[in-house]
Order: sequence, then C-alpha cells, then structure tokens
Amino acid sequence: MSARATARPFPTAHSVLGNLLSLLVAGLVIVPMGLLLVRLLHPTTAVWIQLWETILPLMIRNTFLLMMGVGVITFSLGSGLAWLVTVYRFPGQRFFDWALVLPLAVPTYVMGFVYMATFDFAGPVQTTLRAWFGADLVFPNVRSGTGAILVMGLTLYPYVYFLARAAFREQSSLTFDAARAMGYSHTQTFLKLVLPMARPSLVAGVTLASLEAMTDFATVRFFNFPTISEGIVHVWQGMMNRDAAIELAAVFLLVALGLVMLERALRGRSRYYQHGARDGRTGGRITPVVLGGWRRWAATGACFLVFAAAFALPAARLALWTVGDLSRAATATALRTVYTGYVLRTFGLAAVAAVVAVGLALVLAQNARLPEHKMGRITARLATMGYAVPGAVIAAGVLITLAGVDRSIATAARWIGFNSSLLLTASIVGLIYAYVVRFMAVAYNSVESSMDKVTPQMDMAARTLGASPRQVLWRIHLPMVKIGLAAGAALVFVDVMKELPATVLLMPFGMETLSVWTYMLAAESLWESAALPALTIVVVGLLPVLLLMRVGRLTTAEERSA
Amino acid sequence: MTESVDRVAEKVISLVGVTKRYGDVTAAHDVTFDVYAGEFLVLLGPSGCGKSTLLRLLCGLDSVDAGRIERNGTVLSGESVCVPPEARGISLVFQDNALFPHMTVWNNVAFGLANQPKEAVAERVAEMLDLVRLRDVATRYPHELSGGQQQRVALARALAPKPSIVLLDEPFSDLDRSLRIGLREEVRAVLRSTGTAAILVTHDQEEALALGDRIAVQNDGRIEQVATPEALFGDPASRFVAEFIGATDFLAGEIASNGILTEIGALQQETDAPIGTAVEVAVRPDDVTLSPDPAAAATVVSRSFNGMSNIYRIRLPSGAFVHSLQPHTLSLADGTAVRVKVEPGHKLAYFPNHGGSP
Repeated sequence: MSARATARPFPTAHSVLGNLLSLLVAGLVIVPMGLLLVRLLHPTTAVWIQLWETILPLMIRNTFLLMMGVGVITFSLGSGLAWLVTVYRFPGQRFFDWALVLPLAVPTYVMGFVYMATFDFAGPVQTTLRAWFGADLVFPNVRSGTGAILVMGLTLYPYVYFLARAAFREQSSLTFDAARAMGYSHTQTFLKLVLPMARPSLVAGVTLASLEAMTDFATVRFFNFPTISEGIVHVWQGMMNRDAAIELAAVFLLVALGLVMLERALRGRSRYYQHGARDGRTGGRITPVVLGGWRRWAATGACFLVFAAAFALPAARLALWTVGDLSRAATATALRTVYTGYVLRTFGLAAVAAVVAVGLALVLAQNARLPEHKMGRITARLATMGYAVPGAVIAAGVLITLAGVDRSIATAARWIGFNSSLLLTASIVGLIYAYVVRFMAVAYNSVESSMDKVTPQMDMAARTLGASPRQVLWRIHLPMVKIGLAAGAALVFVDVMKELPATVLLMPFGMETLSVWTYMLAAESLWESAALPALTIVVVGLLPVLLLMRVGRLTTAEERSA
Repeated sequence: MTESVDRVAEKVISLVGVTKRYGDVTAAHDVTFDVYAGEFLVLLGPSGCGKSTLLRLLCGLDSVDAGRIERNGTVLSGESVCVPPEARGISLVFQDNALFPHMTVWNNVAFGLANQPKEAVAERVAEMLDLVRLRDVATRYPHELSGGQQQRVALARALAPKPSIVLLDEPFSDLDRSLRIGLREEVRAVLRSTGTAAILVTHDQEEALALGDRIAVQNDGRIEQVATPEALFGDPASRFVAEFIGATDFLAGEIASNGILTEIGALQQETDAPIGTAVEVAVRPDDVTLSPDPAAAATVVSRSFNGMSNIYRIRLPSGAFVHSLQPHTLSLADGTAVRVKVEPGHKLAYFPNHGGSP
C-alpha cells in the first residue's frame, strides 16, 4: 500500500476546524442564492403578470439568442484560431499565438460602446459612406441583436481560444500521426479527432463565454437588445421595483444553474488524458506544418483581422479619444482630480475584495487539499459556484441577505436604544460581499493549483522533522503557494475592476468605480470622455493576461469550471 | 548480526500488539517486533499488506487502536497517548523524496534543526552533506538535482536532527535499476556509519534480502516472521513467507517414517508431524536437479535464460510444476523428457496441506 493511497488526516483538531471554516465560507456564498430561490416560493402575482405581458418573453428570447450566438461565434473563432496557431506556421504566427488572447482584457461594454460609436448612424463609418454614396445609403441597423452578438463574440472568443490552444498542445503527436498515417487530411484529422478530444476544454470555454454574455447588461442595452440581466437592472433601477427585480433574478438563477449542469453533462466525465506531450516519453507535440503560397497569407490575414477587430482597433480608438479628451486643457485639472478619485476608489475596492477572496479561498483549499477530504471538496465546489451566476443575480441575493441581517441588527439596536436601519445594505460591505461571491472561483483555482504542488508527503516530512502543524503552514505551505496567492489576487482585482452589473446595483452613493463611470458616460454617448476610464480598465486588465500568457496557462478560464 | 548480539543490544523501538483498523480493514493486526540500536530492519510485504500504515503509526501520523509503540522505553503511541510527529525523534524518507521545492539543498537539510544556534546548524548541515557527498550542490534547488541526488538529500535531511530511527518508505523504487543498487548500498553504508537504526519498507524481496540485518515479513496486516535473511530463506515460518521469498514451488507430499514422500521421490529429513499427515513441501529452483531421460514422465515446458543460468519450468506427471536452476551450459529443448530429483542438501520447509491441490 503506498503512502499516497493510505494518507489520512492527522489525528488533530485542525481538520475539524478546517471543515467548519470551509462550511462557513460555503455558507456565505450559498445563503444569498438560497434566499433568492426561497423567494420563488411566494411570487408576487401582479408583478409577474405584468412582466409576462410586457418585456419578459422578449428578454428570454433575446437572452437565449445571445447565448447561442455568442456560443457559436466563440466556438468557431476560438477553436479555429487555436488550430491555426498550434498546427501551422505562417508569418506572424508566434505573435498571434499570444496576441490573440489580449481581447480578454477588454470588457464587453467597452467593446460595445467603441463599436457603437464607430458604426452607428452618427459614427465615422456611416458618415464617411454617406459622404461618398449619398444620404440615402442603406446600412444595416447596428443597434440590433446581431450587432450585440457579433461584438460579444469578438470580445469573448479568447476564453475558448485559450483553452483550445492548451488542449491542442497537450495532445500527443502520436494520435495525430496515427490518423495521418491512416489517410486523414489535416482538416479531417482536426474535425474528427482533435476537436472531439478537446471537447472538455471547448465546452468549458464556450460555457464561460456564454456565462459572460449572460451577465452583461450594458452592451445589450447599448445595442437595444434587452436580456434578462438588462431586465433586472432596468426593473431595479429604472422602475425602482426591487421586489420584482429580485424575483426575476431568482428565475435567472435557475437558468444559470441549469446551464452549469448542461455543461457538466456535455463535457461528460471524460478527461481525455494523453501521455506524450507533457512527459516527452511517447511522442512530442504535434509537428507544425509550414504553410506555403496563398495559404500562409490567408492564415496571417485571418489572425490579423480578428486581432485588429477585437483588440488593436478598439484600443487605438480608445487611445485617440483619450488623447483628444485630455488635450482640452480647460478640463484637464478638474478631470485629474475626478479621475484620481475614481481610480483610488476602484483600486481600493478591488484590493479589499481580492484579499478577502484569496483569504477565504486559502481556507477552502487547505481543507480540500488532502485526498480523503471529500467534504472539503464538496464545500469548495459549492463555495465557488458564483462564477456561473450573473452579477445582477448575485447583487439581488446579497441585497436580501444583508437586508435580513440589517433587520436583525436594527431590532437588536432598538432594544439597547439605538437606531440603525441600513448598516450593511447601503455600505460597501454589500459590494465586497457580491464581488467575493462572484469571483471566489477565480481566487480558489489559483490557490488550489499552487497548493497541488504541496504533497501530503511534504507535510509528513516536515512534521517528523519537528515542525508543528502551524509551522508547516508558515514554513512550507505559504512560501510554496505565495505566487499562486498573488496571481489569484491579481485576477480577482482585475475582475472586480471590470465588474459592472453588481456594482451598478449595489454601489453606495459616491462609490462609483471606473466601470460605472465608463458605463454612465457611454450610456450618454459621451464616447470621448468614456475613453479614459475604459482605457484604464483595459491597460490594467492587460497585466494579468500577459502574466498568465507568460506562465503559459490561464488558470481563471482553464480551471474555473474544472 | 548474530542472534546473541541481537538480544544484548539496546531496543530503540518496540511495537507491542499494535493494531489499527480503517473501517472494516485491519491494516495492522497485533504487530509485535523490536528494532535494536544500529539495526537495519526491512519491513517486507506485498502491496496493500499494511506496511505504510505501520510507518504512519510509527511516526505518529495516525494513532493506534490497540497495543503500544515505545521508544527507549517511553510510550509514543498507546491507549490515549499519541505523541505528535514533531516530538518523536523519528524521521521519514519517502519514495518521492518530498523535498521542499522552495528551499535549497542546504535549507532542506537544515529544516529539522530549527531551534538550534546558527553555528551548530551550519556545522551539522555541512557534516550531513559531506556524508552523502553533496556538499557541492548545497546551494541548488531540488529540481536541479538528479533522482539519486534528491534521495541522498532526503536522507541527509532525515538524519540531520539525529533521530532515534529513520523510516525509509520504498525510497528506491522510483529509480532506475542501475542507480537503485548503487544508491541502496550507499544509504546502507551511511546509516551504518552514523549508527542510526532504520526501518526500510519495501515490496522487493531481493532488496530486502540484500539490505536487511533482519526482515519482518508482513501479510494482510500481520507480521508473519521476523528473522535474518538467511533464516527467512532457509526456514520460512509460514507458507506465505516461503512463497513470497525466493521463487518457491510447492509439492504435495505425505509424512513418512524417514522423511516426506512426494511424486518425485522420498526426501530424507527429520519431521515432527505424525506419519501420514498431508503436507506441502517448499521447493526452490536450486533444490531441483534434472537430467534428460526419454523414459521419464516429466517434461520441460519452457526455459528462461538469464546469462549465468537457465531456469527450466517442468511439468510433473501430476500436472504440478517445479522450476529447476541449471548452468547456462545445459540447454534443453521444450518438450524434452527429464528425470527430476530434489536434492537440497538441507532440510526443506513443509506446511500442512489443507486439502488443496498441489
């Protein structure tokens, strides 16, 4: 019997404590969702009748179309481009290999308003075309579902691209060569072998992209294509009907959970392991094919087109607008003060959320680490389900949770003679809470994957060399996982900075972040002014993307749903 | 180590009636043995026999359900006692070496010397690294070393705090064969030079016979026999031990007045069972001689050539098989009829035959 198979927890109290702590963390995440679902049991009939008779059918249809469309586009672009850069060699291949991930740094709503501003009736493209061809030129309506789907597909394809690229690289050349030897062409091999083998990664990537599309409310609002996310924000803020918004969120939560289950079903239990590419014993990576003739330029062209449309042009556009905005000296000083305020608020919030999320993730991962801790892994899975839940839904759940806590506090306070009504609900506690619920999976996966390197045997070795459990944590675990912790914190930080729906719904007065600022300005078509905060978000967002590319893996996307 | 020296020497570790259950599985069943000062004891058994459980119990990673573990007379594990691993003075070396990847070789070795003055630590680490001949790689990180070097660092790390005993959990099984043999000789020599007692856990009988001062054979949670390699080989206490050590065949036989009757003749040896008792005799390839004889009823089934010798697999008239070790010069084709004799020149072990076919 190997030590690995028989490894069991130490006979100490710390595993019990660990279980309790993880349950507590999982509870923090589950309670908001649970309370939402409870709401479904006694719906407000009048609200529902009204919603059904007015906007709800359209919103459901749009949400469905959006997710399908984004799924198809991200799948095609993501897997196709990944195939190109992995298997073929053409001019620029090495650059595009990593550059095609960069759109990950651009939030959908930023991409949305840049495209809106560029292609809408008053934008430069249509203006120019009218100048050339006359005023009665027919141009497809940009503010449409098609526009929204295209823009989001273009922004979200890197989720699939990155995972597909990693999956293709892991595939052994042996399988590939075997298929080629049996007379398959490159394309046939790709369609019949490589794609099916990468199915778990592809399904995970498409699901992540669809979930991102589902959580978005700003882009679809720009494009006049109301989805359920948009509906929740609209009912909550526009109609000031929080109860209706909460009920809508509860239904949406069911949809999201259904999607996650669908993903698990589609992905199957299969993980198609392949020996070879990793350990170098049986065959290496697929041998790249050097393209010749028109094909090489077609490949370069395809990559360039996507890169330009999804990243280079929008980034350039933002940069130009920003320069234009800043060059108006009259506003420069005032703007600097305002800008600094937004940056500090945003970074402060993001930093707090990142530290809290990573701290809690550490508790979860410590407890889920040892192979026999089934309970620990179940709690960890529950605690990380927030990644699948749209921001607006989490905001609704957090709101009713904290409102309940506030009521209890108020009752207690009245009893001792104080008056407190909205202690938590109206503070940044709610916002931080929502961020932690939403991005726990991001933090957890970073922490967990770095903790994988700490084997149970290292614990035992350290213990028998005189280290107490606490010293093992300080001398072995923390030093070994600190890079994972930092990476997790950086990812959460950036995700918080980009987050919009929960922020819009829960931010206390005067706590607007860069993302909210961008959204507000863009919603009023103040493109130039919106460019500065948007560019800030993109630039900061690039850092972890580049970092992850350097490390060679994108833990967020790769393992969020693993 | 002879029996007399053995018994005089000081006991470092004693296990008395140690029992451990995991659910329905009894991983250690009434385990009793001692390890003496400076002794190299091998704990040998097939996968899943409970060897690793004993290691975990020894170093305090698990508590015992019954029995006790003592070190120099002090109870480490027992009823309501479980001294934590860090206070036991027992070190571990693992198969996967479990070196701390974020520390240099030097710091790995120094890990167990946390509470000592700096100069003492430096002196001890240097001494340990000299011992395993790795002084020149002290500033490297574990991943920059070869597998054999890593295992030597692990040994140095385990020895640095001067433990009463070192537990080696299959430390050589991840290594290439050529490296393995050299390394295990070296480990043995290092332990001998420091006079540290050790328990080596392995499933490799050849390794056990080559290294152990004594070998404890474990099967299904129980210790079947604790003895010197020679005693274990020559006088196995149970059928399991005989089967597990040295490719043994079993021949059905019956106790007679002057020995044991088998289908290939009578074995002249003293017995202490009643005449007529059905037994199984443990026969090893080196006990079996053969000569080609067209009239004989046994035939060669196959031959495995390993350089210095041939081992023949032979079918007896009853359908039973025995193996015979022959010089490489004797080459017989499959199907050759051979006359088989058992001429051990020593007593053969035999066990009651409980109605099983041979």
